[in-house]
Amino acid sequence: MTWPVVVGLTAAIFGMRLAGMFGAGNRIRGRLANVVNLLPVAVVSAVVVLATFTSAGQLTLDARVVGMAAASVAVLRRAPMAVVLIVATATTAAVRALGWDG
Amino acid sequence: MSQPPAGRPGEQDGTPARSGSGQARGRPVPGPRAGTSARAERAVLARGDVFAFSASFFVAGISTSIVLINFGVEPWVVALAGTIMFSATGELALAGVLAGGGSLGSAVASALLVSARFGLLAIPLSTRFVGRGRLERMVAAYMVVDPSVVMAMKERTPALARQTYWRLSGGMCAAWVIGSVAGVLIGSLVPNPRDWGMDVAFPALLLAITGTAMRASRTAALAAATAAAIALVLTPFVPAGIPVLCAVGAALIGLRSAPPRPAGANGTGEGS
Repeated sequence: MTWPVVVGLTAAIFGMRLAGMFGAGNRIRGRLANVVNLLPVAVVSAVVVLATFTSAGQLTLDARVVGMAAASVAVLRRAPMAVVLIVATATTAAVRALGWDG
Repeated sequence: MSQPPAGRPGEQDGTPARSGSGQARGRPVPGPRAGTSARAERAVLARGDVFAFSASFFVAGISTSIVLINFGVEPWVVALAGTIMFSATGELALAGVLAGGGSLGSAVASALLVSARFGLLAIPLSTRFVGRGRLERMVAAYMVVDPSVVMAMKERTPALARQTYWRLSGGMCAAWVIGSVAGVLIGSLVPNPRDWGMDVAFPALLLAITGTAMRASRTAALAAATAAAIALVLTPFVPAGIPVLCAVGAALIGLRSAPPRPAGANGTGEGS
């Protein structure tokens, strides 16, 4: 991983972001707007489960699952964002300290 | 399916309401806008949220730099990547594939795949920047990451969405760059971030914002659950990045519902 690769990749990723920003123009109307409005929640939901249940492209169960389960409880109880953060990290750390991590 | 309350500011027709005097380029002026300026709309975003998001990006920046340095990447290149790329998953994919003995081509390809979701996320965001200047939209596009877009889409009006987007992007990008550089400088002094559970900081935050979106709308809840299922089922069989790109197909559930309230009141298509 050298700097030209980093700069080139940055440009390519920026290009994808620009395509999203400028590509659709103002054609997003009607039912298509429903689909577009659901994109963020679909993306984020997929990222969440992958960050919880996978590592290096494999399905895994480890301390993160317990931490995220605790975080779900906090979310269901409408805890503030900072509390969710602390519950998740502290629980994960505690489970690892107890010796279980997959 | 309940009708939107009549007369809600800025949601009168298919055109996002505009605040101030800016005119939408080449678009009809919105219809009657009863009470648009009657009272100041308040952003959904709370100050504590900006802090929580920024804090999670700070620790994510530190962790990412530590992981990259452990992969054997030169420290200054790690700092450079953290400062300009704005894609932790892209950095990790690139360095991870190379450290695993993969070719440069496959490393770049997987970094592009895992970062392609930012292009998708820029599409809904663009609907809140209709008529804005080219430079503003380019800067907004450069900073697209998951949480800022989700939070911006929850705001009632495009003006509020942009305000929330800039506040979050400013805090998170600054925290991310500082964290990335700090991770390079002091990475050797910090114990393994995993021991502190720091690897769940970012996913937990994303869970919190998905949770609120799911509670706000059954359609969003269905889309989120479907997307999660698609991503998990595909993971063992396809390269990294593909599961998320396929999972966004869950958004097609939106085709079933009636056209949305203009300005996508809760960022999730429709309420009820």
